[in-house]
Amino acid sequence: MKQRILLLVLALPFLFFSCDYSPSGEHYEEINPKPAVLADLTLHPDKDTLYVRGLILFDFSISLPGRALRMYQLKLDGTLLTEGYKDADTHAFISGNYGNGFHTLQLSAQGNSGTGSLADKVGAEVLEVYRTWTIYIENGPPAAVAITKVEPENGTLRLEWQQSSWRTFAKYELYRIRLGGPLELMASISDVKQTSWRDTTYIGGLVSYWITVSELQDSYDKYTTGPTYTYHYPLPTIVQQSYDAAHRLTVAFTTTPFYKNFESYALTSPQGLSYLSEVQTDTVVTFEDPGFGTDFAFRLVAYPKKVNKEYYYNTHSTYNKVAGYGTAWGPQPLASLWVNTQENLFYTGKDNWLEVTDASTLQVKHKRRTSFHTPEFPHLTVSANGQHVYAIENDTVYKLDPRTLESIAIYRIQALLSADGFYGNISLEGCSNTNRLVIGAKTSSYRDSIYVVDMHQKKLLKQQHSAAYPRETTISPDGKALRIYDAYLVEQGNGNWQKQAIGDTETTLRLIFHPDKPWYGIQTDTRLEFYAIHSGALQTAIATEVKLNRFSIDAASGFLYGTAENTLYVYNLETGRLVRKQKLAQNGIDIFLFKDKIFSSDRYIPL
Amino acid sequence: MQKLNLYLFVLLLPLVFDAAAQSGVYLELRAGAGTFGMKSMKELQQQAVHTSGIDAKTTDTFGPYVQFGANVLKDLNENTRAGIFVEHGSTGGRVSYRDYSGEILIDDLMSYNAVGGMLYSHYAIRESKLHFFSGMELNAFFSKLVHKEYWRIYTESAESEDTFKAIGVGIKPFVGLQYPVVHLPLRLSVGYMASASAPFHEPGKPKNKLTRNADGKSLEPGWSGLRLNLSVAFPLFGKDGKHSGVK
Repeated sequence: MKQRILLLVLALPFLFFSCDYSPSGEHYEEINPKPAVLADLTLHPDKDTLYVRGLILFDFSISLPGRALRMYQLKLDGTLLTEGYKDADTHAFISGNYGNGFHTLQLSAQGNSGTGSLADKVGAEVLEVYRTWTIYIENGPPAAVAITKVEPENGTLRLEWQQSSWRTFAKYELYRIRLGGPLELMASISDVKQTSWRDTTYIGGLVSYWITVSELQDSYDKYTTGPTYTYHYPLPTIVQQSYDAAHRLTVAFTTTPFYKNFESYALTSPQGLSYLSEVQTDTVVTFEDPGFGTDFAFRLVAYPKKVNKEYYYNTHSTYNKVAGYGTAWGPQPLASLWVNTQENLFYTGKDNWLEVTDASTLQVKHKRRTSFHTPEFPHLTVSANGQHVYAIENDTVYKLDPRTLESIAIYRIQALLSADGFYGNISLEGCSNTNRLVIGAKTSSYRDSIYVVDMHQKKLLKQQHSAAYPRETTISPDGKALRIYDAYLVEQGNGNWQKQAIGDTETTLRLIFHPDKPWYGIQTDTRLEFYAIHSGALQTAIATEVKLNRFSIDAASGFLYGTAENTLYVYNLETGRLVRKQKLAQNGIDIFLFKDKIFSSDRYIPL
Repeated sequence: MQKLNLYLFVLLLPLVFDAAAQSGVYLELRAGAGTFGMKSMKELQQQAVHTSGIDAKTTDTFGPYVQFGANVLKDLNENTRAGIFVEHGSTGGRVSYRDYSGEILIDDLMSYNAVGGMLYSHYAIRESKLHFFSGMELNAFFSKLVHKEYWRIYTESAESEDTFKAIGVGIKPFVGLQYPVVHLPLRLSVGYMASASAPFHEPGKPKNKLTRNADGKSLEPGWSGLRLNLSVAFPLFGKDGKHSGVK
C-alpha cells in the first residue's frame, strides 16, 4: 500500500503535464483567386503602328481600378527603357539609338492581385497587365536604292531601279556621267512609285548612272547615293570598206539601237572626206575616188539630241582607219629612199640600217648596219648611172658595192676635205656619174659648207660656204654643173666654177638635172624648159596643165612627173603629152614614180 | 518546465513523509474543471484579429479545461481539516485564418502550477455517510504562456514560439459533498476562483514585461472562474487506520 501511494505521488507530475490544453478551431475563408481585372493602359501618341524618327515623347498612363500600382515598365523588344511608380509618366524616346525597322513597345504595370487573400494582403501576389504597340523606326539617311536594269527599249535607254520604302521619301535624283563628260542631273522624281526612266540623250558609249534618295528632314535634305551602274553600248564604228574599179570607196558602219535619241551621223576624215546624215538607218556611204597615197583616218560620231556637239565629238567619236587603195609595200621612209635605176634597186635608210630592195619584187636583198642618221642629213648617195654608191658613218666615207652595200673603199673625211678643221653635221648631197662626190659639212667657222671632191683623184675641187639653210645641193650627172641652194654654178675649162644667172631664186631652187642627158630644167609658170648645160641652148619644152609644185624625172621610164594640189601629173618629155593624171588623197604627200609604178610611202599603183 | 516539476516534487516529498509521521493524514488526489476569465488575453486575440487586416477569427478563447492536483490533509479536529495542495491546470486560445493562398495561426498555450493551502469543515447530513463541507483555498500561481505564431504564404512559411512567465495569487471558496466509496472518501466541490496576477515577463527577467503593442498595457493571466472539483482521499499511516477515512 505504501509503495502504491509513493508510486502514485511520483507519477503525479507526469499526469499533470501530459494532457495540457490544446487550442482548436480553424477559420477558412472562401476567396476567388481570379477576380475580374479592370485595367487601362494608354499611350500617346496612339496608333496601331507608330512611326517614329528622332526623339519622341511617349506619354503613358496606367489605370488599375481597385488595385494599387506598384511599378510600371516600358520596354522595347524586351529591353527596359524606363520604369517607375507613377500612374502617368512621360518617356523621351531617342529612336536613333535603335535600328531602323519594326519594334515592339510594351508597357507593363504591376499591381496587387486584388483577390483580398492573405498573400495579396502581404504583397506576395502580383498582378501584371501589359499592352504592346508596334513601332516602326526610321531614321535617316534613307536607305540607298540601286539601279537594277539598264537596257535599250523602243529606241531609247530604259533604266529601272528599286522602289524606296522610305517613309519620309522626298525624291529620287538620277545622275549620269558620260565618258569625259560632266556630272549631269538627269531627273528629279518625287513619285516614290516611279521606278523607271528613259534616257533620251544616250546613243552609245560608256555611261554611269546612279540614284540618290532624299528625305524631308526638317529644313534640309538628307540623301543617300546608290551604287553606280555602268552601261556601255558600243559606239558606231566602220565594219566594212571596199573600193570598186573606179576607186569609189564604200564604207559601212554599225548603227545605234537608240533611234529615238538619234539626231545625226558625222563621218569625216582629215583628207576632206565628209558625210553627214540625219537618217539613223543610213549607215552605208560611198565616196567618189578619194585619191591615192594615204590611208584615211575617219572619225565617226552619232550625235544624240540635245547635246553639246563639240564636247560630244571629242569624247564620243570613234577612229576608223580605212586603208587607201593600191598594193601595200611600206611603210617606207621616202625621204631616205634612193633609187638605182641601172641596178633596179631601192636603197632605204631605216634607223641604223641600210637596206637594198629589189625594185621589181620589192624584196629586201641585203642589209648593212650603219650609224643613225636623220633625213635632214642624207648619209647615202647614188650616182645617176648607179655605179657610185657612197655612204657616210661618223667621219668616215665608204664606197659601197651597189648590189650588196659591202665596203669597197674607205676614206677619212679629214683627208678628203682638208687637214684641219671641225666637221659636223656631215651629209652626202650627191654624186656624179664621173665620181664627183658632193659633201655637206659644218666647219670650224660654224658655217655650212659644200665640198665637191673628185673621188678618183681624192682631190677637193670646190668648197663653197653657205649661210643658207637647208644646204640643198645637186650635181649634174656629168659632174660639170652644181646647184647649191639658190646658186647655179658651172665648171669652166680652167677648173673654176662660175655662177650662172638663170632666173629668180624660186626658179633656181626648182632647177633639176636630167638623169640621162646633160640638161638642166627650169620652170616658168606652167612651162618647163630644158637647156644644155654647156651651151645654155633650149633643148625642149613642155606645157603643164597647172603649175607643178615639184617635178622630177624618172630615169627608168623617162617620164617627167610632178604634183599640184592633190593631183599627180605625168608627162612624156619627148612628146610633151600628159601620160597620167592621178588624184591624190591629200596635198603634199610624198609620191615617186619608178618605171611602171607610182609609189607612196606605203602603197603603189600601176602607172 | 522540467525543472519546475522537479522542484515541486522535491518540495512535496518532506510534506508527505512529515505527514506520514503523524496520525489522521490523507493524501487526496484531485481533478477538476474550470472556466477562465482571461480578459487580458482575449483582448490580445481581438487585437491580433484587428491588426491582421484580414478576416481572421478567434476559434478558441481560452475555454474551460481540466485541472489535476493533490492534497495532503490532516484532521485538525473531528470536523475540520487543513492541508496543502498542488494543482496544475491549462487552457488556450487560437486566432485562425486560412485561404487558398496561405494561413495564419496564433496559439496561446497557458498553464499554471498552483501551490497553496486549504481549510474546510465538514458535517454529516442526518448522521449519514454523506457529508456537507465548505472551505477555502489560498494559493500561489506560477503561470506560463507559450505564444506560437505560424504564417504560411503559399509555400513560404514561418513560425515562432515565445515563452513568458508570471506569478499571481488566488483564493477559492468552495462548498461540496463527501461520500465514501469503497472505504475511500470521495469529495465533489464547486467554488469560484478569484485570482490576481502580475504581468507576464521573460523567463528569468522579471523586469522585461510583456505588453500589448496596441495600447502598451501589460498582459497577465486571468485564472478567475468557476471550479468544479472531485477528489478522492487515501489515508496515510493514521492511528485510526482505515477507518479514519470513513468518519
